[in-house]
Amino acid sequence: MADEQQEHPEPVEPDDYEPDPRFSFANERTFLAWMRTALGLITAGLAITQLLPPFDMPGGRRLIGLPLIAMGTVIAVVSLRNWTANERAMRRGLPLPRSPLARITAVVVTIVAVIGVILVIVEGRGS
Amino acid sequence: MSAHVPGRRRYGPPDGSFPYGPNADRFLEESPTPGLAGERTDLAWNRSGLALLACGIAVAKGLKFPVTEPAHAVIGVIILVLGVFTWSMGHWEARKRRRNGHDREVAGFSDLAPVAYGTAAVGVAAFVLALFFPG
Repeated sequence: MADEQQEHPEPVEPDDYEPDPRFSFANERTFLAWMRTALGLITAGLAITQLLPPFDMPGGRRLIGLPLIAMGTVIAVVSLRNWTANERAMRRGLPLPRSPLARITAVVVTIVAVIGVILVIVEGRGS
Repeated sequence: MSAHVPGRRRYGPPDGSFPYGPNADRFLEESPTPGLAGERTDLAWNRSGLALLACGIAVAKGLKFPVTEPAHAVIGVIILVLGVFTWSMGHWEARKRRRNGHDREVAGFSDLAPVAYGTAAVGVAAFVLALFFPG
């Protein structure tokens, strides 16, 4: 059964068990979806700071671009931790841990969107 | 409750109950293979690799950094390499699963960690770039 040895996120406890592979696949897909989200946020932040014409307000582009890039970086690291925690919980038959990542992402994107709207409105008045 | 079949890997806790869904036991008994879940996962890998490739091309060709002239090309190529790596990783996982009797192979920590830390590194580079050298 050597080829059935899996790489466990933690040393295997005696009462651990092998979860249904579909759950592990779902966990893996969730991780990959977070990776794409992270990359999307980083790319959007880069495009905002590098390609957008500057606002009248100095640092306006960085004000909305940098939080997106930071959020993407945090997601990349935290989603790996979430994957490990989910995998461990499934192996031990425990409830899946709750992660605040989705909520934090929603809050950050909302705040950035509001700031973006304010910047655009202020810009429109100035010209 | 499913009886343990010798030679088949056992799923579920030792007492035979299964915590994920009330009918999971019966479902597992009727459907002993993971079905198309592996294929969906392969496609997710494919998408992730393509997203990195698209990001790398955008950085290499689209951005004009005032830092030093080759900076954007270098960062773009690094992201492209990461994209090729991710895409190959997905391809490798898919091949691993397509072998006979290996349709239950799932990825381990060392398969995912390079993708996560690579993306985080791209994020840190992007942050430094955006903070000090806005276009």
